[in-house]
Amino acid sequence: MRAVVLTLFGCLNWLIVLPNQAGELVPKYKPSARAPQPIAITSNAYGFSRSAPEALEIGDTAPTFTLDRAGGGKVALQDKLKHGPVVLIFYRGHW
Amino acid sequence: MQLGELQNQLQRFNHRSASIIGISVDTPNDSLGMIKRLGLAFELASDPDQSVVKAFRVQNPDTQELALHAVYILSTEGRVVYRKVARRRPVSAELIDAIDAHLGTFPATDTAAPRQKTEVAFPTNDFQAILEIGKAGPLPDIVDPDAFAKVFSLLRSGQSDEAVFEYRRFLELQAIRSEKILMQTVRHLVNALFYADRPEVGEKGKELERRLNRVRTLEQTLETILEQTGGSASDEHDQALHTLAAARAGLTKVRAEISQNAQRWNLRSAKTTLRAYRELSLAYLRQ
Repeated sequence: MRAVVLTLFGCLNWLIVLPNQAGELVPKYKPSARAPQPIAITSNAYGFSRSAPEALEIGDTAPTFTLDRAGGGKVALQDKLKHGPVVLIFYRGHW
Repeated sequence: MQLGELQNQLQRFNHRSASIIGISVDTPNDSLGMIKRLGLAFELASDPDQSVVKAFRVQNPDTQELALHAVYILSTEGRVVYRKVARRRPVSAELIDAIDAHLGTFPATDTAAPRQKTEVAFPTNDFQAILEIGKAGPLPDIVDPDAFAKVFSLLRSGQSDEAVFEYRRFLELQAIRSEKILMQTVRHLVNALFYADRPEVGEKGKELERRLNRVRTLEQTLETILEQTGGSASDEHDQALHTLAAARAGLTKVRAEISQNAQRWNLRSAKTTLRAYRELSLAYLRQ
């Protein structure tokens, strides 16, 4: 029985959900394939990189911006935030 | 890159009124090409002078012209509620979880909804495929047997973490290997076409062409897998794919020329082109 539970645990360790101190559920993932433990994806430690130690942290206010949009026109962060949360993907480009 | 995978899951973002903005240094025109290629329905923004990249302090320390791969989620007040900088690229499920945690609706009610095939491509589906291929018997000669065997045995013994690591190595080795095979095939193909007026060699050429097509299919599969899995973060690998794409483009061009010349029965011209191309591909192989 114990072995079965451990095996199941091994399969599911990509996503383990545990309540935090306030009793709320927090999504936890492993930050890298070799990380020993899954940690809360909403923590600063989760997305930290030594390549960018100064990167904006959880809780920081993001700078607003207006950029040129593919296909013409502009993208303004302020407009998007009026409708709901915004996912920003920085990708390397030059493809 | 996981923009294609995001597109697959766009509806789940829409349900949460979340917008997605992709930011790169590419010009709006270049980005438009990518939107068309991947069929994206969210916006890509151009940040040529990196003002936003700098404001988020996610500049690439190695090349000042490019951003690191980074994902941020902002609340409606404009505060950062999730970030992932230069790590394994997150799949949509993770971003959805982060949004739900922020909105206080985690775990989401729609997690049990039927998942599209690409959603958890990494690692479950690929690993499933590897297990099936491994059990089925002899590998196609394109696959690197040692690297494959390593991933396969780790998977069978249930060491998923090590398997993920080895799988990444396998993909990178595989890309290099298939590039080599592609160039070898190109060389054989060119040789065969060079003597195409001899019927017995013409048959050989057809066979080689079929082989070349197989290599191409494999390359496309690899690229798709890389896209779905968030790709390998290694620049060498990006570079390899880039070189390969260039080689492929060159090949297409030369073959168009060859067939054009052959149609005109201008064999001398065709042979000159072929000789030039053979030199090119040999030089490439020697690198």
